[in-house]
Amino acid sequence: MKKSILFLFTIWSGVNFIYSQNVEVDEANSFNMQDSINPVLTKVEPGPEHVYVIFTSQEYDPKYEDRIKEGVMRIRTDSWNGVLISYVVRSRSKDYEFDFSHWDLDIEFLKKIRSVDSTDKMNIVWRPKEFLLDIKPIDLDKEGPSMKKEEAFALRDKLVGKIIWLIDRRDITRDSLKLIQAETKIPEVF
Amino acid sequence: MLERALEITNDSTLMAIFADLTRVEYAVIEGQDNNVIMEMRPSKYRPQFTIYISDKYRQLSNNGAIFVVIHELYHIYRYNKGFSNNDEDHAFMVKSSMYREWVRKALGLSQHSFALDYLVYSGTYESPVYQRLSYEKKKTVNSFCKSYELPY
Repeated sequence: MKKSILFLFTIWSGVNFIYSQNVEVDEANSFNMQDSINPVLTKVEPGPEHVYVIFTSQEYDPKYEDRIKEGVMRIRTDSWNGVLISYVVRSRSKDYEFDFSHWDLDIEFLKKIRSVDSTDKMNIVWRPKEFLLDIKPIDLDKEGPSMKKEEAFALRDKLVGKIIWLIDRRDITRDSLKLIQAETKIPEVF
Repeated sequence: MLERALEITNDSTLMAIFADLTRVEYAVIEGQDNNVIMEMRPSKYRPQFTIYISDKYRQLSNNGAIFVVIHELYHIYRYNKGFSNNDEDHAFMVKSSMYREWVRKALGLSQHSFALDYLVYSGTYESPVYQRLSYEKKKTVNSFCKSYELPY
């Protein structure tokens, strides 16, 4: 009798062990699957392979459309499809302008019209101020004023398709700084 | 895509132009530095219209691809009416109820979609009609174009 009970217990333990392994595998699979279906949920974190750009922005004022003629202009646009924060690098005297765009689109709205991708909802992170010692940012406050039109567009072209982290000197506090994920692109015409 | 776009326009003149093989020619351009996706160039001689298609066209979504074709068809439509100025065409596009209806049908939007007010600017970025917009409106145009996968 004891042997039979021991035998049944051994089988039950074995079945239970295999079942629990399967459950873990299923849970792991479902987690991975969810990750691959919703890449947008995986937020990008600053890395050494990314590009860092630092500047001091000026706030756009719709009442004075052309007030900011040189430098970086920050424009926040809120619509029912989400938020776009644009940093427009412009020089009226040298006749150039290009954008860095930080997208924070409404994912639920997007899901109704198309599949969502990782650039639809970008990240904003805070780091200790010492983070600046680990990176070599492109400083638009220093380089911008002397940049010619061709150089400005060459810089933009070089950054197309890369993950860019913007550091606005207005967002640097005593001990930390804000990193804003962004992208740039060449306007498409037809 | 062209067939679907012509169907959307439901314009017999455009259909006749594309049915006649001597009137339209296509040229595929690859590896160019600029960011031109498609361009229609008219001529007084046959073929009357040359449509340059960049390799960037292939990277567009369905929405983007049909939109670009509809946009070029509107240029041909205007040329056929005796107008051949690219910037003026763009200025007409953003206020034309016919073009708006073509775009609406192409993207499957509802009759009163506010998004159309912005989407019709796609492709006009180098024209005064876009350049004259406030920064706020330009960025809203970009935002809706990204949402609906139109070129911006």
